[in-house]
Amino acid sequence: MDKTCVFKALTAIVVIALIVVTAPALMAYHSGTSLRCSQCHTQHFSQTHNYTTAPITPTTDKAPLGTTPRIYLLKDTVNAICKSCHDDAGSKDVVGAFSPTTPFVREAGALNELGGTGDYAEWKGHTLGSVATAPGGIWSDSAGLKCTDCHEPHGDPAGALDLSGVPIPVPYRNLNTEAGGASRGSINVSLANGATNDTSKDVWIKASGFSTNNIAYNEPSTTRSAMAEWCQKCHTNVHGDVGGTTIGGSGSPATQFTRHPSAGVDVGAVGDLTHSSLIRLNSLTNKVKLMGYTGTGAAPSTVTPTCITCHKAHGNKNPFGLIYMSGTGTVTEEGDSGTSVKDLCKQCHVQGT
Amino acid sequence: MGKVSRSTCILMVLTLVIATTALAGEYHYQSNLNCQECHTMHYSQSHQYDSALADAGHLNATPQADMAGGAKKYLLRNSDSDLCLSCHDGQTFAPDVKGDETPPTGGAYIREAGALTTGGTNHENYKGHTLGVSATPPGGTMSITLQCTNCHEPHGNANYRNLDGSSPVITYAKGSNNITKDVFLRSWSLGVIATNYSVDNVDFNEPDSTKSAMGQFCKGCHTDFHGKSGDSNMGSTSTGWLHHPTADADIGASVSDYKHSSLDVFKSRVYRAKVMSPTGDWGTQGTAWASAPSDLTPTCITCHKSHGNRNPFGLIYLSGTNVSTTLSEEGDTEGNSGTGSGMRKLCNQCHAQGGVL
Repeated sequence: MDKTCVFKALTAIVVIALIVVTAPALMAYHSGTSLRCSQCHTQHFSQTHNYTTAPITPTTDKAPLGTTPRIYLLKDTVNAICKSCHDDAGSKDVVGAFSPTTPFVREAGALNELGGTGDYAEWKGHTLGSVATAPGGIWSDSAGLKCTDCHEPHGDPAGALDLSGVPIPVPYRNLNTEAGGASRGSINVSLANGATNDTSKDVWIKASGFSTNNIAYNEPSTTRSAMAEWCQKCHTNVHGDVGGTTIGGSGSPATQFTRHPSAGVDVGAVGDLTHSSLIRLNSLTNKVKLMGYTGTGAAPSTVTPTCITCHKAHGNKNPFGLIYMSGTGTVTEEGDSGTSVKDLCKQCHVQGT
Repeated sequence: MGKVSRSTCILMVLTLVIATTALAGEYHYQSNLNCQECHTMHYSQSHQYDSALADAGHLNATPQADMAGGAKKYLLRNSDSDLCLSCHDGQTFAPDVKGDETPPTGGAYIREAGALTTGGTNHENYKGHTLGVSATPPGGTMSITLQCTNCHEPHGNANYRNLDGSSPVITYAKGSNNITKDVFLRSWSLGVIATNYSVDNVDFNEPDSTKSAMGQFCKGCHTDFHGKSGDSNMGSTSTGWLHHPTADADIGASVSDYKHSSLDVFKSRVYRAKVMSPTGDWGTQGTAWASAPSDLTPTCITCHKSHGNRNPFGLIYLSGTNVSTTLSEEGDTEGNSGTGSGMRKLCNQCHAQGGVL
């Protein structure tokens, strides 16, 4: 082969590789080139102003950092730092009520905080500051649940691997590979960015922003869910393989689960009135998120529910962050016109109707 | 008195020669200290040194033109730092320490200490030490109106750059290194400003692995920012640092992982921030340092220009990744390009959290 041709081919490969590796980083904040040490760290605990809750006006918000420097040279406690930007009613708000200039439905919903009541009571999702053991698991943060328990503040993939064992350069939403004490180099959630999907990736971010309209979940593996396996790092017994000790299930298609499956079970797989129904699902205008469903048109027979099908990852105004989606009405973080968990179940199930 | 033996005479002469040599410091000291440069006995003089008129060879300025304002205490020709700046700002015969550099006769150079602020464009007050402004030094407790003499002894001493006020003082070796001294001046020749005060000419030893003489000096005002591992204001690697270490913490000393400083990252930089070395080995700037030892220690001047520069707090945004870069008092071209990433690139000299830019 001509040397010039080889050189050109190799150059193209390198360029493509750089694009593939670099592109996800360009889309994710707190990662790669968008990571700014000074946003969270102060070298000498000396600063003329801090980031107060929004609206932030640096020329006037000159609240000093206080009198007690913090380890890791942090400006404040972890949650306070994160909330100084992510609890501000703007488009990146992840805690409690949400009122951005241009409203949208947050795909992850809303966190609540220790002592929270009403719409964002503690039992309605992940509770910042909670020392409780994760339901179904044994892990807890003795210092109180922190944003960094789930999200890697430096965007470091920590050796993240997808379901095929391929390294993930930038995990979805900077999810922490070592959540729940998991090891470096364990499962995380991969993503595809932009207008074109890549079904080998776990999540498709169709457009920038955090709206539920921008997110779809692929199913690179028909027997596993990366999102569920990531959640399992804390909620150990809530997820697992079909036929395994945590969720049970037997036969093919599998039935008789001891815990609701979060992977490996397609909607309508059994095809009768005593199990899930694809016909039911496709009769609805508003559908829950499913693996293998891009969000438009009819859901194919291969769609599979997983944890985020029923729960907002952060939480919402419903118990346990459940999405009461009846299938009609305006879509909200709580579902739509639905008012109970039965509405959610009836997305896929017809028992009792 | 009996005759003094020949050997005793020789010994006395040698002692005098050695003593003289050791005490023959840099400018504003001993034989280079000229009283009339700063003092006037009767506040009566046909001229003084004006920044617009002064010239090493021609001092025939308009009589009395700049002696306005009345006689100054201590028989000084001018007030406070204005006197120092009459030579050290905008002149070619003395190192320019304020604002943009006035190149000396030998040509422009990168000032190791950078530039004091002017309050104007590029050298705003928050970008370094600001003369004449009353403020509490960051990390300190007392309010001072900063003058040159707060840091530098005007009558000179045997310390590095006539710095004064710390105990122990900042010692230095000149010409040939002595690792028991705090600073190594590679050369110094009277009048060769572009070499004497150049960033290339200065490196920092580490006579005590738990201390930094520069840090100790700076601590005189910036009290809370300095100390050693375990000090209540500093913290430690085991308990978590409360202030960025300025002594007693070697690059890559902790577990070799992505959560602490990384010697591998530092080694990979072709241009590296100034660090203290106990062995007097700083590698060769302009090339990666594969054999960098594990005993290198950052200190205050690693990240900051002592006087300041065009970056906030005199920070040195040194990316160090491009052998063909243009170095400056602000770091290098790559370090100062892009919005808001300069500090990250400085951090990336030693840290790899989140990856290296």
